[in-house]
Amino acid sequence: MIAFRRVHLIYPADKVHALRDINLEFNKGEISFIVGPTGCGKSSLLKLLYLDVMPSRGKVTVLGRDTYSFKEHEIPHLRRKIGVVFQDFRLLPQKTVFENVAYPLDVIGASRFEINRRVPQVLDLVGLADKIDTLPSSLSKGQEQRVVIARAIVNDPLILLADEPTGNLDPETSWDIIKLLLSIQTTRGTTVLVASHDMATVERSNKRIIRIENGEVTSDRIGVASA
Amino acid sequence: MNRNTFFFFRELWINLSRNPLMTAAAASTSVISLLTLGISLVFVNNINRLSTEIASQVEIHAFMKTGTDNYQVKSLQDEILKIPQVRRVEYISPDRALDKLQEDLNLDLEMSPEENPLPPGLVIRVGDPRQVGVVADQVKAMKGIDELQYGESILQNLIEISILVKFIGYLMTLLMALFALFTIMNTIRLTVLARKSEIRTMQLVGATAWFIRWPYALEGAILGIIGALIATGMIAIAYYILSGRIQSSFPMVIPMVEPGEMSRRILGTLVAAGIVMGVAGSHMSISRFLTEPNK
Repeated sequence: MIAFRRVHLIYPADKVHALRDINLEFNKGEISFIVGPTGCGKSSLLKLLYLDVMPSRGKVTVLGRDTYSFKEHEIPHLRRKIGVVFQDFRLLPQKTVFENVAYPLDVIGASRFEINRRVPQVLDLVGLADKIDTLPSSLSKGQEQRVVIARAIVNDPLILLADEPTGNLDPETSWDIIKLLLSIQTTRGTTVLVASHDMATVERSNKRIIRIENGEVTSDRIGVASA
Repeated sequence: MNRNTFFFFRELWINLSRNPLMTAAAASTSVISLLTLGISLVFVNNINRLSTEIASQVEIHAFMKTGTDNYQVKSLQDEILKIPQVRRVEYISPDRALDKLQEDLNLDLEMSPEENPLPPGLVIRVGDPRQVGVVADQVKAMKGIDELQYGESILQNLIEISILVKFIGYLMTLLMALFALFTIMNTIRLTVLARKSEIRTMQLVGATAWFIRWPYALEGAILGIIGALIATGMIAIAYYILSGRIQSSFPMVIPMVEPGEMSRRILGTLVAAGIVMGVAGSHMSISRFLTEPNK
């Protein structure tokens, strides 16, 4: 499903070596957590999967294809199969919660009927059914985070990438979000990758945990549930 | 209406209505740019009107020998009309010529037709004033023509001046069009720049370049149309008032395009220019943000 082979990433603008010799594989329907301190390369690893950046060396495979093999016009079609929960949310500020969540459906040309059925469902799932007509500027950070999750899952992606999805939440709400991601993985068979620095919450999941430090993988193990 | 078309118009409405300040700023720029273009069009249209007026008044006066009979006059008239550049030929009999002379000079001469020294004449109008010389040469060579008058040197000067003035008018319009294009493009570039991050988000959730482009192109077109309508309205009102005053002060001296006709001409040109500039501006501004890394 997803593979990294001897991947290096150097940002050309500031020559920062963000990832070094990454070798990882993720199977279909698996959920994995990528942990490490801020700036260690977690977000860069996810960005390589939705082609926001391209590897400087090595090979990244997504849905069975080398990312370099995608032609420019094929990239949007790949991204439609990947839901992303961005660390900085990336909500469209002029659009309401409903319009933000509906955008990936608009992009694929879904009917109004389908949009009106699907969007309230996912907003209900993330607990924001009452914020449907609100603009992002009137939401709290935690609410914005949930809108981003709703947008990421609204068109049933094959892969779900979540970059710090619990970054702005208290421990209990964080655990609720992790449970939500786990349920998406189990009920829909979605491959889920979660980047997080919140070790306590991640350990509770009892799932695969990959640790990255200074751009290198330092451990790859199964979490130990303590709660 | 197909789903995407509905979506694009909804996006357009959201962009315009939820960014009122940005919309107002972009629309004002569009109005000012198209206003300058419209004003230069008013000049060009009136210059064209003036030169057409001058051209229509250019006449060749051909005088026939005294005693030329009606049959000869008729055959000369027919022969002149066969020259392709000639638009009209009018016969001026010696009696009519005498009446006109008395009227112009305010005289009252008691004169019998036999005593009238004036020859019969023909007034020839030519479609294109630049062809007057060519026509004059052909008429002069005809049998029965005694003398020709057409103000050769004045005519040449008039033609040269009118070509120069027209050239300046068109140059001014071209410069104003470029100024408008540049200004409108820059304004749209700023609005696109302000939404650079949004555009990237749209790409990252799977929107194709054209899916992102369309609402911006429509927005550019709408801003162009709004600018054109307001600019035309302002010019139409100002032109109605000014042309009325100029016409009442110098009715015979300055022939002007009628206000209704002027508004129609400007409206069409400015709407077309506004749409083209708005769409081209948005297209060029957005292109640089739609390129994928390493592609």
